[in-house]
Amino acid sequence: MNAQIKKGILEMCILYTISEEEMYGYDIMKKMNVYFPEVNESTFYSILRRLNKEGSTETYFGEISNGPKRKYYKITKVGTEKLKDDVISWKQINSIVKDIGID
Amino acid sequence: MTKRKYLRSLRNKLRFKFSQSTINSVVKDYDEYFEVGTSNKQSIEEMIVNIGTPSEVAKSLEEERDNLALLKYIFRIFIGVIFIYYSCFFASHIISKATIVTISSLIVITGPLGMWLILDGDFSYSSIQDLREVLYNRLNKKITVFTVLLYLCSIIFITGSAYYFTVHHQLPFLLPDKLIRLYIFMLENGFTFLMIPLIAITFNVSRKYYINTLPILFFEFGMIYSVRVLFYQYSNSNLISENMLLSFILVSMIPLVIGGTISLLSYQFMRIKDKKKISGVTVI
Repeated sequence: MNAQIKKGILEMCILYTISEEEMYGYDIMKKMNVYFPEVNESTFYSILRRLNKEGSTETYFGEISNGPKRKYYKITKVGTEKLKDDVISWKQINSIVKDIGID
Repeated sequence: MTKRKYLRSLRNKLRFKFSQSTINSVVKDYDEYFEVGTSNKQSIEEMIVNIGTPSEVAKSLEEERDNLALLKYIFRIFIGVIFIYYSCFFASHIISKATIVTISSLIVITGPLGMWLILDGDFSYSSIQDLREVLYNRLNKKITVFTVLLYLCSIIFITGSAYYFTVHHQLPFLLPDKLIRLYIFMLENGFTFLMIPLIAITFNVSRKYYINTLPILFFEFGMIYSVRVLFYQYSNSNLISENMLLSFILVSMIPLVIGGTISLLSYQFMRIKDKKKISGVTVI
């Protein structure tokens, strides 16, 4: 599949995962790897960085009882809006594709 | 491949292509990834397969590439060298009670800034706040004690023989002619030489634990210059009474106080910056 389309879909999925639960980098990458096993985990990381850079997510350092501080990602207002738009356009594209006849 | 090797090779792959703050944050995040993975009983090899090679990681970050990175790097080193040159230039000035405040604050400011520009040049490392945690929990205590002892010994040795030399005009022990010249050169520049390993250790530790070096460097420069001023005065006077010794000590405290103040100020500045980062929208 086209790399750009795939990246956009991955972005939406990661944003959705973060909106469900605030997580740290390792967990997000592992969780995404379950669904997209053929994608390098570093790709997820670069998408996380991009989301953070555009302000869809923000980070904070959370402590865990035994172990070093971990960088947690959480969704912002901008991110929630973006996710809404993404889901709407994803559904539109999906129905268009179905209308054309690709099932 | 070990974690350290992987991170080092990742840093090398990113150098000159990305901005310093991007490189530091990427390396830090992957360090965290490895650490969490290890605590989840995953082997390093397995994790590397999942992430990909350092060049693959660099490729995945392509969109953040800074085309001016190399130019910025050269510019930074250029400015850094100028700063260090001036710091050495000020350090060779003769100290008197009238000029000590000006000269020592110039040294304490220019030296660390130069070093920091050449070797690091990034504010985005976490502040000194984490240093306490590092010193108490994670740093090998034996190594720390050994380094401090080594430093004290070499400072005492160098200043002791410098003192002996200025009083008796000969060395406390016999050496061949060529070595004597080298030795005198070392004596005169002893403190400058001592700085090099100290700074190397500072940068090594801070690289490892992602601490900003600048506040620590201010303090270190102040401290070393203080010791230098103390022994400089001591070896340049023939008669020493108790009162004079007290005034020597007080005068030599000045660089330390200046260094400490600047260190605290920069630390506060970084803390404010950190707080802003947490509350606002952030670039990692």
